[in-house]
Amino acid sequence: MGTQVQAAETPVISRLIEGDVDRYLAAIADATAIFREAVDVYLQTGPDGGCWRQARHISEHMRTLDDMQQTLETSVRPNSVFGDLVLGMLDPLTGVNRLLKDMKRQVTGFAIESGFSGPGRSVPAYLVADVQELTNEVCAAVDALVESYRSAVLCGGQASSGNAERGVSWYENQADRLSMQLLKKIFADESLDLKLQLLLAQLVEEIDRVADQAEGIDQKLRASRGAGLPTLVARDSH
Amino acid sequence: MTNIALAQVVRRVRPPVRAAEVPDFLAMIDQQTTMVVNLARLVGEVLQGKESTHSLRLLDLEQRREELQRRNQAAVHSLPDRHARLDEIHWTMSALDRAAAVLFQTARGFQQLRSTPDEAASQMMLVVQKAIESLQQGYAQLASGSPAAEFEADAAIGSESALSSYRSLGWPGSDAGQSLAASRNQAATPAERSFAGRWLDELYGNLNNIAHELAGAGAILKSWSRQLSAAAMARTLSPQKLLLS
Repeated sequence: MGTQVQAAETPVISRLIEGDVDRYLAAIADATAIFREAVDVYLQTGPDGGCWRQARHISEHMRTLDDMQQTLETSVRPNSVFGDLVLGMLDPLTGVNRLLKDMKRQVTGFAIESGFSGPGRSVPAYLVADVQELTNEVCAAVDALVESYRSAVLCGGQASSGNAERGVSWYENQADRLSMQLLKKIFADESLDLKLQLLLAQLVEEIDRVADQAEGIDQKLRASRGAGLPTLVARDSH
Repeated sequence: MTNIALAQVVRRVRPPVRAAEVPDFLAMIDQQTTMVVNLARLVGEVLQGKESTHSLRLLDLEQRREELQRRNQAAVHSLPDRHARLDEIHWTMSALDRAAAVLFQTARGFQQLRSTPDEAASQMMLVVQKAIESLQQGYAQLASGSPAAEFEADAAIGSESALSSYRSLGWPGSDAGQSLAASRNQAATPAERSFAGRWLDELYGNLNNIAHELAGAGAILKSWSRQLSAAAMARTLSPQKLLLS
């Protein structure tokens, strides 16, 4: 049974925490959008394109996310009912922070790291659509994770309204399947030298790893939900 | 050897809080709100170029903010109980402090690039000033037991959506080049236009964050006002007792 803070206690604080958590989750979804855009720019224009813009954008966005998390943590008194509640709610997001940092590292890598951005590192045209599809599935896995967390924390553990079959694991499986297909195509292409094949394989595996991380966090979240993840249920209205 | 009972030692270290010693939280919030009102006005003047970012008034307010935050935190933490109303007081004080922090950040950001804000940003700054003034009036009305505090709270809450409307009118960086050129009386380079655009975007974001904090404080004020009104009907509660009833 989760720790539910009912409206009768201090509904106004419940609503404020709920609003801040909601904003925070929306900002995480925005980070996913930047990641998708960064991969797209890299695929379309290569390392000489505008990748640095996305790198700067995601760095600024990560600072915003840190600020939002700090705001949530400092808005409540330590060792109070709401202080314990918020810290309990934020705990599963530690893994999400690591995932976002990995996204940031990759996006920055498109712009400045030699593994992605050296001369001639562009992805062959016939692979672009597949890498985009892989990125879409990976981002969908992260979005599904955010929705899963949102439904667990803000809706009192009720299942999200989306198709239950299309959960984090479903998207992660899709990403695994696509990355495997991509790796087969890369290593079957004899026109690519081995060094480029390895770099392309690294790119695919790096993108796919984000979905693996999302699945790992989702499994922990489900386990903690079973053990009583703090939830926030404010039932009154203005 | 003299045995000293543990309870006696504890009492000597931390005396029990008696009713007379409970801090006057309303007065403390009022002082903090007054500081933010003065700060918002001053930052408005800085953005209009009427006041320097190095102004002594700004430095004084920064010191004042730190003093109030230290004192407020100490007061909240001096009450060891897990009283739910303390969470609301703490949230209010934190929200006001964060609003002040972002106002200082806004003034400092202006220092780096002397570009005047566009029309949308100027209007947004006015909305923020009005929101904090509404809160100030609301706390004063709450202290006097007036039910009108709820309307002032609503004004502060509404500032968040009002700011979103203004933001949708302005496109980040849309006229940053013109603003910069007008302020310096010469054309801006593309790099300067890009920098000015980013500064304006940051300014919009800052003002939205301030309005969000003020709206949160407004929601709590509204709740207090409603509870005070309900209790006043039954003649059971004074404004000063409300916060720790």
